[in-house]
Order: sequence, then structure tokens, then C-alpha cells
Amino acid sequence: MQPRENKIRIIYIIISIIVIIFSYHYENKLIENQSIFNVVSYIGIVATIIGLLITICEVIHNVSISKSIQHEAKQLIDQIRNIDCASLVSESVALLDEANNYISNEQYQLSLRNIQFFSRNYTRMNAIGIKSNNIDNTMTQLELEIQKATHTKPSSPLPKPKRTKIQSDIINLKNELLTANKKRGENVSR
Amino acid sequence: MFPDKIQNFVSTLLLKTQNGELTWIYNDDNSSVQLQTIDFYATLRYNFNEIHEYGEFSLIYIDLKDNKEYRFYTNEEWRDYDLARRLFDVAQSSGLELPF
Repeated sequence: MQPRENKIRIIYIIISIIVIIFSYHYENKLIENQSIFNVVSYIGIVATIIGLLITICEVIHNVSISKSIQHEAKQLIDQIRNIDCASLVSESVALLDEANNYISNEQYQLSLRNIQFFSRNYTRMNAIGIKSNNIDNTMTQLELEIQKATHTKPSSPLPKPKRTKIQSDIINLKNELLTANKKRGENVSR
Repeated sequence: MFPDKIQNFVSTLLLKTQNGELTWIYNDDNSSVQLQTIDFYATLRYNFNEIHEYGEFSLIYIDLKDNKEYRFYTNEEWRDYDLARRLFDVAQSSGLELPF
């Protein structure tokens, strides 16, 4: 709690106590005389109306402030999500490119690890709105194929057609990812 | 495992290719080498068998006299795998023109 808030509360509590003491002290004098009492009642009525007006206006004011805070918060959250999304996508593209290079160098274990990292990234990206059926379909098969390739050795290498298939699958993943990312961007700005 | 007759044939092919008498065509998209003579066509194709995790060679021999196709197979678990692999490598280099 900020000291300023407390200050105001202390002030109005003190003033209220003063008013209560004052009205208790002068009660008899003010009530006895009918005309004075009428004046006092009238002052009371006016004060109540003003109090009501102030309360209503303050409440309306607060509602509009809440709304603008809500709007700003949403904008901020969207901004954060966009940054998170961009960093995830760029990291994933780098992972896929690296995985492709590893396949060229016949380092299947390293490539598999990158694909698995990408798979985890993709799960996170699903949560912020990047999803593609093509990626889902390609992923399982691709991971299996690379897993199988890890069993090759120089005397029994992976033949070129299989290697080429894996590499073109990885490139397709990359393109699908970029398309899905663009789609998300369009959805968010709508 | 190649039958003995085929093993001998492969050894002969190997010898003749090394001598320069035979030239093979290498198809890398197919990972195969092919030989075409007046009497026969021979294709030696390499594949990696992912289920069993070994390399394997298929030898396809087409006898042009009666146009019959014969298929023979060996894999890394057999001793003649090395022979097939040697033929494959030598056949690859037979048609290759190296710069120096």
C-alpha cells in the first residue's frame, strides 16, 4: 500500500470523527429549535445529493480506467507472445537447417537430436497458435527414418535416395513452419 | 548369400573390370551399377536394410538369349558381402574420369 493512499484515509477518518464529535456535542441545540433543525436537515439533504453525484461519477470514471487498463494489458500480452513466437520460429528454422547439414555429413545421431529439439519447440508453438497438419504428419515418419539411419556405418551406408528423401522432408518441414507462422500473424492482426 | 556359381561370376566381373575390359554405368539416385554387354545385362544394387540394420546387395542378371531375369541377394551377414561391395566400388570407378 502506498503512503499516499493511507494519508487520504487517515484524513477522512479524522474529519469523520471530528464531525461525529461536533454533531454529538451540538445535538440538543440543533434539534430543539425547529427552524434551525430544518436548516440542518436541508444542509444534510444537499450534502447527500452531492455525495451521491460524486460517488456515481467516480464509479463511472473507475470503470473506464479499468477498461483502458484491460486493453493495454491485452496489447502487452500480445506483444510478448509475438516476440516469443518469433524467437521460437527462428530457433526452429536454425535447428532444421542444422539437421539437414548433419544428414549431408552422415551424422545421423546429431541430426536426430536436432529434430527432437524441433519437436519440443513445435509443441510450444502449438500453444501460441502455430499448428500445421502437414508438420504433424511428416514429423513421426521423419523421426523414425532418421532413427533407423543411425544404425548405418561406413561399410553399409544409407543409400542416396533415402538420404535425399530425409533431406527433402526436412526442407518441407521448414516451409510448412514458415507458412504456418505467416498464417498466425494474419490471424493475430485481424 | 550368392550361390557359388554366381560368386565365381562376380569374381570374374571384378577381375575384368579392374583390367579395364568392362565399363559400368553408375546411377547414384538408385545406388546401383549397371553393365551392358551383347550377351547380358547385369545390375548390382546396394540398399540399407533398416529393419535388420545391415547393408545388402542385389544382383540382377538378364540373359539376353531368352530375356530371363535372375535375381541374387546377399547381405552384410554373409562373407560374400565384401566381394559384392568390392565389385560395386570398382564398378563405380570404372566409368569415372578423374581430373588427375
